[in-house]
Amino acid sequence: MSRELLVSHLVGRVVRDADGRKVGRIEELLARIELHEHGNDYVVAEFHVGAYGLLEALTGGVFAQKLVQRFGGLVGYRRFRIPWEWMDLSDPVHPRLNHARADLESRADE
Amino acid sequence: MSSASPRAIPADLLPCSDHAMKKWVEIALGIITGIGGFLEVGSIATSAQAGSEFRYQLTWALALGVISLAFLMEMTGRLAAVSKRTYVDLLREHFGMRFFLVALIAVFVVSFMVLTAEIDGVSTALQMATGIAFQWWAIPVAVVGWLLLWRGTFGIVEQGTAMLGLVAISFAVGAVKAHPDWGALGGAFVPSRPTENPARYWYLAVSILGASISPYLYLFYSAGAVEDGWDREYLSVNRVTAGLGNLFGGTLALAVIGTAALVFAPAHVHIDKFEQIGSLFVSPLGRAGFWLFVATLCVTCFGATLEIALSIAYLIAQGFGWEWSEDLRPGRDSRFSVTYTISIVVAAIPAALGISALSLTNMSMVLSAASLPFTVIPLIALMNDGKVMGRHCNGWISNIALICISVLSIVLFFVSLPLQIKGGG
Amino acid sequence: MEPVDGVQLVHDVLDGCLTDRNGRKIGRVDALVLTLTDGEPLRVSAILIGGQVRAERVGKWMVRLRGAISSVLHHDREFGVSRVPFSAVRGIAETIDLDVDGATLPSGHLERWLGDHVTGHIPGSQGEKK
Repeated sequence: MSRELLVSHLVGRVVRDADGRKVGRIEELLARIELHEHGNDYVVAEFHVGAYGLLEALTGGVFAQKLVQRFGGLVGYRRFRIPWEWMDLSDPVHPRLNHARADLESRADE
Repeated sequence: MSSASPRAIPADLLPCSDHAMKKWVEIALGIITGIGGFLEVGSIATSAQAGSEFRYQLTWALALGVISLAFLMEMTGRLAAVSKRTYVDLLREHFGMRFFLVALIAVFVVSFMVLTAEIDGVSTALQMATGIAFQWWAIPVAVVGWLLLWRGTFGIVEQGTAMLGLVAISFAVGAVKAHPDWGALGGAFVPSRPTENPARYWYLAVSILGASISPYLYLFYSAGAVEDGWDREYLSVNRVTAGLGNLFGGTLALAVIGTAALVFAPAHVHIDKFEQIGSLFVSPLGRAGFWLFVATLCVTCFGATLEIALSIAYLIAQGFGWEWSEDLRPGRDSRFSVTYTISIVVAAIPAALGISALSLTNMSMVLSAASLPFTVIPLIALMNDGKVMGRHCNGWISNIALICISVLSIVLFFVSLPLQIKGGG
Repeated sequence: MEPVDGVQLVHDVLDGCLTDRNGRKIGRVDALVLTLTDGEPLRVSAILIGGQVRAERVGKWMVRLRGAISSVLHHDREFGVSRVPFSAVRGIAETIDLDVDGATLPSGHLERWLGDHVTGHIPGSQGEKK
């Protein structure tokens, strides 16, 4: 069964890991071309989830996020690249990972 | 003041194919545009009031405004040349619809108010020249301005009015002939506290900063860079234009401060009507000084009128992804051309109803200062984004300057309204 | 940060400026539609432009305001919204180039209306400027 949702409905959602612990918020969806005989489609290959550490309370808006991302590690910001198959979107409002947060450490952008 | 934007010259239209010669010509055009386009109703009014009430003391505010504007114009010009997109395009793309709308409303309101003041300024100049009340000139000025935008190209609008605006050089001549106290003038580049009426002093300081760093200036400059097809080859032209154009143009505003300090301050003239400023250069230049002032006021405000009307249309069209260009026939970008049409016609109404240029000007300059954070602070992210700027991201000097200007913009945001109430009398 | 291979839907596409097959700007990407199928990756299926979709990006108050204006003008909720399949995307760079004719899209109604009823009647709107 298929259904539709908008990118803007996913961006900014809090993502939790398999244990219910907060990982961060969806900031970006990386799409790649998938080739098949009927034509090419763009499919979402990765979700980029950002964690703002101590500045979490201040960075609810896009404007604040953009500024904080520029200063990166200085302010405790981290971004995780999560493959699509790790993301459970059965409830798009509350996306969850099917892995624990510890599995993410290898997927953090420095 | 209005902004400088050197016209890109196709190499095959120049008699000499020398690459260096082409660049020098473009730099010269850019500087002329900066000189001829710097003064307008806000800078003339605020500088004259500052000189008459506080002599040279507020020179530092003008210098701070000019330097800040030079940095902002250089950055938005570099942004456009490298990314091939305007600052408004990138603001919308990187910060989303909600933030863009907040910035749009802030810049639109302020720009529209400044536009009404500029039309008022042209009308007042025509009143001074003809004796016919300024209210009667407002609609004809708007119609002529609209006609130029409707039928003219970007080059005609930008450089035609800038060339005519070179008459403003008479201000520098007048200031030198007035024999200012060069020592006191030089010392006034260092900020000092007022000896009396601090509310009025800081109010005028904020007004000067608002007149110098109006958002429409660097938004227009960025749009002009895209209109002119700038690319990375224009980065040096951009740097020189933004720096020298504003430096020379700022000198003309300084000439107004200096002459007002010598002519109006000793007589304790409190300027509350534009017509009073008409006599500013009579003492050093004789009767010709009056006519040169009227011509300068008329031409520079008219140039600013065209720029601001276009700037408003650029802001809305670029933000919403409409087709836009001053070089396109209006039927090809109807939403864009209707936007500047409505802007210029509606902005003529306050002057047509007799609302005074000076009070409108002062208020719009202060609000201009208050609106700065919405367009200055996002530059911090954009100018350091490698995906946007490639290897042309800000260096440490530009970043320090940008952070200082951002802090200044936040301070201005909080102090503008209280100062308007306390010192705007 | 590692370089990304692929298209970043938020950074590169959402709010991007759209051009049609004639090179004319036709608006911005106001929304991206994703198709969610169990066991499969999300498929980027369509671009939405204009109308109610744009209002939703601003907030509920804008949706209500637009709804009120629409009812005064006797327009339905979907008026002015263009849905372009993502397969029509030909390139993603400074602009997002679509293989569609912008003149036929619902979101271009204001441009067409102004061209037909306003600018088209003013002398000088059709001549070349250069």
